[in-house]
Parts: sequence; structure tokens; C-alpha cells
Amino acid sequence: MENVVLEVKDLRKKFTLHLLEEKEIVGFQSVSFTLKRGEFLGIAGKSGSGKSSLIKCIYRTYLSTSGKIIFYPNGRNSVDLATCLDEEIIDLRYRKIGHVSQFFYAIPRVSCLDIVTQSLVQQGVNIDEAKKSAKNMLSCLLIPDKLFDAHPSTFSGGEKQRVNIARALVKEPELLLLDEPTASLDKVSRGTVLEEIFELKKKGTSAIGVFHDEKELRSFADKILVMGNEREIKVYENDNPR
Amino acid sequence: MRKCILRIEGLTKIYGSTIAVVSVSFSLYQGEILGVVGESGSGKSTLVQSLYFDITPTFGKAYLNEEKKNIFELNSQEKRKLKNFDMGMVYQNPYLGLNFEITAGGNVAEKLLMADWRNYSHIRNRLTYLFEKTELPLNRMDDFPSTLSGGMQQRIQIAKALANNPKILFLDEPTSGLDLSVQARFLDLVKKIQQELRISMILVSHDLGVIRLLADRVLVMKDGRIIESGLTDQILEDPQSSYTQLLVNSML
Repeated sequence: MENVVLEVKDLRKKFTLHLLEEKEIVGFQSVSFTLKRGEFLGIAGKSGSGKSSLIKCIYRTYLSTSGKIIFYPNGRNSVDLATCLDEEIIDLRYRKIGHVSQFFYAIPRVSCLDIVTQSLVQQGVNIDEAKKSAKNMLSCLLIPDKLFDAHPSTFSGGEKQRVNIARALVKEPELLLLDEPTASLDKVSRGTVLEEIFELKKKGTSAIGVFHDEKELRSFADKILVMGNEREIKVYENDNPR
Repeated sequence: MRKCILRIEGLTKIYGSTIAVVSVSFSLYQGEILGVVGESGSGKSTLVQSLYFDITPTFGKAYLNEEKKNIFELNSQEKRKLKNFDMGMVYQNPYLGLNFEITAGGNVAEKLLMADWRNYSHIRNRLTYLFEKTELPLNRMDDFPSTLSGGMQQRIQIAKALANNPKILFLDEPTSGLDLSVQARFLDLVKKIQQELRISMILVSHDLGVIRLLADRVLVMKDGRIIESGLTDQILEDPQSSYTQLLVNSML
């Protein structure tokens, strides 16, 4: 068990819409899997099958309806991300868990370099070192130097998304959650982003990523989770991981 | 786990037959920004003003730094000391937070004097530091608040609130009167202060956009009660109570 980073057991999510006469909507049904250190789990499935909902439950943007999400961080006690205190989640988000959302939120008129730097400063890295690593990460993700002091609100969709990714990757988190990270990227930058993720994998980061295309996932994921209705949900080892 | 800076238990405020705040309990942790949202009249401002001793609560207890002493039971001198040394406040209305009869620098210096600063040059140096920190132009230090813009007035309130390195900063609708460009700079300033000085903050705002960008956690208040609390993104994306769902669905 010592190699396990995350253990998801019979996790379920449903939404109750109080404004629509208590209508209930199923996010996803019974999901279980384990993730080992340095593994990449890809999540595939149709739109609306609950892929993003699952990522959001693990990051605690959604409250899980039932089930467990046991996280085994290095050097700490294991913790159930579905039920632990908000304070614990905040601390884990700063130090252990990286997340790339589908949408990009940042304080307006803060430079993209500062946004990425802040993510390290929160981790306790000193500001000069943080700046250096942030510059490095932005360059790796093909953001040109001349944009470093520009505000991301003026960026293209793909550039914004790469800043968003840089902000998560620069922390070298133990657990990386990716919600369609490459959806708005062209082929070249998509490849670069994946390269950076593999670099982190080598250093021990485990990742869970939503990707639309199961075929694409088969070219690099260690395990694939297919979402759908209760009968369709399955996890399988990929024969040909990278 | 982070240290608990302030713990509130059963805070209640009754005005005659109106109940403004009912049995509110929560904790504030080291270095976090805790958002408080809710419609006007939900008791948000009464809550922070009670904690800053502007209002005397009817019932309730509050503990600083895991100490055993209920701060609402301190005598007025001890309360004043806490207020001057450990707390800072930024009001929505600068007329509540600033004295318009004295200069901008004088307003900040007043807070220093109350915390027993006596040496003129030390005070002047501290003012320079605070003006730089809050991005206020030094050449406006000796101007009166009425001659400054709304955004500058709010930043003077912040400079004043930060004067004595407080542990807790209360922000009561700090950006409501500001235009968007000034608001963006103000938000960035608050975030920087949180990160550099590790000050814990309670941020009251009805603007969910402001809360999303600044707060780590959020309390949702309605009719004087906390009806829901959680991580900011969770409250905004997966609100549980019917009122919070309505609030979030009404967001622009």
C-alpha cells in the first residue's frame, strides 16, 4: 500500500436543485480506483458523463454525496478529501495538490509572471527563487518573455490556459488534477504541456486528467477510467503507456 | 494545521425587537482571508463591527490566539489596546474610518500614537513605509482626505489599519464605492498584504466576484445566521442551501 497516493472508494455525486422543486441530477455513479505514485490516470467519456465532476469532487470544489477519497501525502497522515475540514484542504491545495481548471480566474491587472510566482510563494518559497522558477516554467510552456509582465486578460485563450497550467505545474505537486487542460491548445503547445507533465511524473507526481479523447489517452496514460452510466464505468490498465 | 487566530462562539446582537445576528460561531485561521457574503440586512456588518468592538454584542464569546479569555468581557482599556495593537478595520464609508479634520498622514499617525509611538522621525519613517506599501503617493501625505480620490481614501484606511502590524484585518465592503480599475488595484493590494505579512482577514462583501478572487473560505449569512460555509470555489460551484443556490445563480 505504501505506493498508493490516492484511493477512491464507491464515490458518488448528485446535485439537488432547490430552485427547481428539489430536482435531483446525477453527477456520476459509483467510481472506485487507486492511483500509485508517479502514475497518470486518464479520464475519458462523453460530455455530461461526470468527468469534470469527479475531478471537482477530488479537489473539493464539489462536495461528494457519498464514498471516500483517501489521499496519502508524503510525510503526513492520510486524509479523506471528501470529508476533511476546509482548513486541511486549503493547506493541501497550497502544498500538495495542483489543479488546472477549465476556466481561468485571476485578479485583474496582475501580471502573468506574478500569478505564477504567487503559487510558489504560497508554498513558502522565497520570492526571488519563486520568480526564477516561474519564469522558467512560463518559458517551458512557450509563453514569450515579452508577455511576462502583461495581464492575462489580454491573452489569447491558449495563452491563458498555459498560464493556468504553469500556475499548477510550477509547484511540482504530489497530486496533479487536470480538467481538460489541453482543450484550447494547438498541437504544438499540447505536446509541450504533456512533456512538462511527464517531467513531473518522473519526479514522482501522480496525475489525474480529463481528456475528451480516449484514443489520445491510450498514447500516454498508465490507467484509463471511462465514465458513463453505472454499467459503463470501468477502469483498465493501458497496455502501452509512455 | 494552521493556528486559530480568532474563535467566535454564539455571537448574538439584538436591537430592541430586531435580531441582527443570531448565534454565530466560526474560527479564523492564520493568514487566511475569510469571506462573509449575504444580502443587505443579513448581519454581515454587525458581525465585523462587533468583533472590532464598535458594537457591543448581546451575547457571545470571542477568543484570540487560542487564549482562554473572552475578549468581549475585557474592560474598555484592554479592548482599546487590542483594537490598537492587534486589529485593523477598513470601513465601506471612509467617513467612518478616517478623521477628515486632519491630514492623510495624520490619520495614520493617530493609530501609531495610540499604540504609544512617540518619536517623530520614527513615526515619519513608518508613515513612509505604509504609504509605499499601500501604493499611496508620498507627496499627498500632508493633504486632507477630502482632497483625495475614493480609491486613495480606502488605501489610507488600509495604511491606518496596518499601522501597528495587526494580526487581524476586518474589511467591510471595502470596494463597494470604487470604480473597476481602482477596485482591481485594491484587490491586488489586499492579496499582496495577505501573502507578505500573513495577516488574517475577514472580508465582508456582497460582490461574489470579489469574494472569488480573494477569499479562501466563505460564510453565507441570511437573517443574521450563517446558513452555509465552505471553500470559496465549493460555495460558488456546488452551493448546498436553497438561498446560496439563488445567490450564486443570480451572479452576473
